[in-house]
This record gives sequence, C-alpha cells and structure tokens, in this order.
Amino acid sequence: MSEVVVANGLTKSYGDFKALDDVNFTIEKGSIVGLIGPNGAGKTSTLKSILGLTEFDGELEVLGTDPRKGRHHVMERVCFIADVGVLPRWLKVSEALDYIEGVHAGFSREKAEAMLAETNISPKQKVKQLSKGMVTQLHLALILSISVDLLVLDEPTLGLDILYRKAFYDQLLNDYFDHETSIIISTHQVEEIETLLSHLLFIDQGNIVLDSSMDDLADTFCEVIVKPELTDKAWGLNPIHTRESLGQKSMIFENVDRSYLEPLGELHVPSVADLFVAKLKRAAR
Amino acid sequence: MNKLTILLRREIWENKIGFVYLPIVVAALCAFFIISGIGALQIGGDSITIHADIDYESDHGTERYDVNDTFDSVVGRGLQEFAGRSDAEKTKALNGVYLAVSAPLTLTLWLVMISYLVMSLYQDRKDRSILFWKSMPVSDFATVLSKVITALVIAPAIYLVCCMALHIVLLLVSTVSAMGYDVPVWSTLWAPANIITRWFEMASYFIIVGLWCLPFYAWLLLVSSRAKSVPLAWIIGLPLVLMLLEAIFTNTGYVKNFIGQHIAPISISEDLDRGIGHVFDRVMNLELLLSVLIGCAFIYGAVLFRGKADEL
Repeated sequence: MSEVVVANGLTKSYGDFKALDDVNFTIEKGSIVGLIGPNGAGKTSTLKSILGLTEFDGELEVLGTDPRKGRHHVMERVCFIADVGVLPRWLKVSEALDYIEGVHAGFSREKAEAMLAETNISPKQKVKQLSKGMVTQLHLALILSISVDLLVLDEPTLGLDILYRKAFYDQLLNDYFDHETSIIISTHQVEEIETLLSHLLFIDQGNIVLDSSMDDLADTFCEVIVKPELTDKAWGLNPIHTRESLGQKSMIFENVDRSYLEPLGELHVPSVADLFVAKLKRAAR
Repeated sequence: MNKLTILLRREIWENKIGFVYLPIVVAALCAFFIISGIGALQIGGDSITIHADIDYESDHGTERYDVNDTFDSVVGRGLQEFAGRSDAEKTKALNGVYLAVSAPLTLTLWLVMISYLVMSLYQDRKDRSILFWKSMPVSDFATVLSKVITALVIAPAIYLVCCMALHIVLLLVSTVSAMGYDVPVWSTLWAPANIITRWFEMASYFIIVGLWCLPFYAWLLLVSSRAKSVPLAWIIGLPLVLMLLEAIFTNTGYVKNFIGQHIAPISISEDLDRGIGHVFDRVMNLELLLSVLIGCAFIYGAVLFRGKADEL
C-alpha cells in the first residue's frame, strides 16, 4: 500500500462553522508532508481527525483503516507529538521507558537508551529536573524509538528557542527518516522545515489551497525579479503575488510558461514562505 | 492484562506521596505513640498514682471502679479482671482497640482517595501532559479503569498492609507489657484479638465500602474528567442543586439521604466493632446495587468525556 492517508470529502463542522470543508488529499508512503496554514485554518482539525481524536464527516483512511474506530487503535501504528515538552513533570526517565515499553509493542528500549546515552539525561532524573532542551531530547528519543508507519507532528517546536528548534529537526532527520515512515508536520514557521519537506499542503479557511510535491513546485511556480521597464508587461501575465524589496519588484507566477517569463528578468524557485503568502492572499480574495 | 499492570504502576508513580509515603508515615507515627506510650508507663508505672472513678459497661450492667492506686497495680488488676471475662466480651473490647489504632490510617486513606480521584483526570489536562498520554495506544476506558482500580483496590490494599503492620506492633507491645502482670497472654490478648480474621474483615470492609460509596467516588472522577477549572465547585455544586430542587419540588428527602449515606464510609461503620457481619447486614440490599449502577453510569460518563478531552 503506497497511500498512508487518503482523505475524501473530509469535513469537520462546529455548528454552522466548517473547520474543514470537503477536503481531499493523499499522503504517500515515505513522504514528509508540510501541512501549512495560518491559525484556525483547519490544521489541527485535520491532524486530530487523522489521529482519531475527534469526530468528522466524510471519508478518511489512515493506513487502510478508519480512525473513528478509536484513537488507541490508530496509535499502534501512528505516533504523534503535539508540542514537545508536554511530558508530565513528575515522571522519571526510567519510568517513561518502562511505561512505553509496557503499552507499546513497537517500542525499542535499546534504541531509546542508546539515544539517551548521547545526552546528559540520566534515567534517574525526573522531567522537572531537566532543562527545556533536555525535555525535548527526551520526548524525541521516546517517540523516535517507536517503530510506526506514520509520525504526526503538530507544531512540535512551539515555545522552543531557535537553537532547540534546529536541533529538533536535525535529530528528526538523522535518527528517524528512513523512507519507510511517513511524516506530517504542521507548523507556521515554514522557513525552518522548508528543506525537509517532500510535499506541501497549504490549508486556509478549511480548504486545501495548494497540494504539490516539492519537485513539482519548480514547474508550477516561478518567481521573477522583474526589470523595472518590463513591469507592465509582467502584470499582463497575471502574477499571483508581487513584492517589492530594496527597490526591486519580484512577482510569482503560477503555470506560466518559462519562455514568457525569461525575458522579464531573473528567475527563481519561490521560497515556501513567499508562496504561502501568495496562495493565502489569493484564497482570501 | 500486562498493559493494565503498567497503567496501575503509572498511578503509583504519580501518587507516591499519598499512596506510599503518607501511609508509612502515619503508621510509623501511630506505632511510635503505641510503643512510647506503653513503654513509658511500663518503666515509670509504679511512680504514677491514678485517682479516678470509672464507669464500665459490662455484661452485668454498669460497674463502677474507684481507682486510687499506682498505675502499675491499676493495670495489673485491670488485666486480671479482663482476663477473667467471657471470650465474646474480650473480642468485642479488643476489636474496638484494634479498630481505633487503624482509624488514623483509614481516615487518611479516605482523604487521599478523594484528592486522588478529583485530580486524576484533571491534572494532566491542566499541565498538558494529556497530549503525551493520548499519543500512546491506551484506550480511554483502560485509562479510567486504571484510576478506578487504583482508588478502590490498590490504595486500600497498601493502607491495609500498613494497618496489619500496626496491629502486629500493638499485639507485640501489649504482649511484652502483659507478661509482667501474670496473666495468660494467649487467652487474654492473642486468641480474642484474632488479628488475622480482623485483616480479612478489613479487606472485605474496604471492598464493600468502595462499592457503597461508588456513586461518590465515580462522581469525583466524572467531574475530574470534565471540569475546566478547580473541580471543587462542581463536586459540591451539583449535588447541592439536586438536593435543593428536590426540597423545592417534591418535598421528599430521597436524594439528600442517598447522598448523605454514600459519601463517607462512616455511615455504615457504626457496628464495625461487633464484626463485619453487621456491616454486611446493613448494606447487602438493593441500595447497594443502586450504588453500583449509579457509580458505573458516572464512570461511563467519565470515559466518554476523557475521549473528548483536550488540553485546558
């Protein structure tokens, strides 16, 4: 099976408000998907639906089963970190290992202990005795030692300073990613994960506004630093976003042939952050 | 089954103070008072003089003792008189003594259980660690069940062990001090106290009280699973409203009586010194079944709320 998650008409309503409105997407095995959107866009509703943490309408298959069968069934094959550092303060490191070993068949204690051996964390310490960075390391070591098919990260680095955020993603890539496990990361700090991702899902007001692999991105979108005298001509090609910085005008075009764009100026692949702003502005219109 | 074991261990880890340290400290304090109290009187007993009139209820009606002697001889005469009584009378008196020594422990247990149940499904929502617990393949039912078993079985078992230790201390200390007074220790202190039977009685008492008070305990759990702020207001508030509504609209006292009867074990414990049989007589009826049903309904509610629960 190459699809890990298939959403078909996924809808989540709170009374009249639709947090997710008829959403369709597919997550392929081995991909690292960035689920990106502003606050209240429906990121958390999407992830909660996948994890079996909430009710929803429509079709959703996670690893071939319906998450509505119950969170604890989903969690046997899916792991999630919602904000690292939510480990209970009273828990001892050794107790955390005992606990997960006891409840999770996929947990490798050796792997976790090996990872912890590379840190300054001792098994006798309680979470409250650890620094914030160490709690992050511990949480990652615990979760990354569980072999699952899908890892869901919901704003995992919120509240961490930049040093730890970088270390978090480095560790994630080095220790974990083996092209067997798929990862979904939701965040609004796009820049940090840009290089990590293999696939992008932009979500806004309950709708998917972009669903593209990173490889296809360069074919679909093009950023041009437009020569000042050609600005009017560039406008004629209907840019989805324009931005002015240091006296230069740059425009992002969607599905416009490169042969039209090359004469206008210097071509780039747009950054995910710029693309995000462009797509969201468009959706807001 | 294995999963449940680790869930129960988890509860003990989180609540080591109430479930492990506190009973040991309370038992140690009680033991200290028993040993030092009896020991001090033992050593200085012949220099203390007692003046008192004691009324005593016995099989033969009220008897009055005029006491005006040294402590040693008062105890000596008292023991000899006690040794001469009927077995049933000795058992009843010793029963009372052994119950009294375990009272601080059973009271502590009750308070610990209340605070445990109130916080058990609330604390992890408050400190957001629920996000971690929910990322594990443990069902909401198993989670809630582990709390119920911890409160109703594990905690009483630990406190029972402490009571047992305390009873052994009392038995040994009283034996040592009685040996100086020339009374038959076995038939006076050991046989009538029958502490092993007492322990089985206490164990069944804890179980029966757990079922009798299940509506209260499960109510705490239900509030704990749902409340958004300190759950105390809910715990007291809703029963109060129910009682008020009943008073206003029906002019009966069923709800009020039921609540009053099922909050504290004390309501069914008056006859405990006459043996566990009297407690069973009091509770083995439809009211117990009703308690269990209401309790289960609340527990079911707590499981549902836990399923929807999120960080606060």
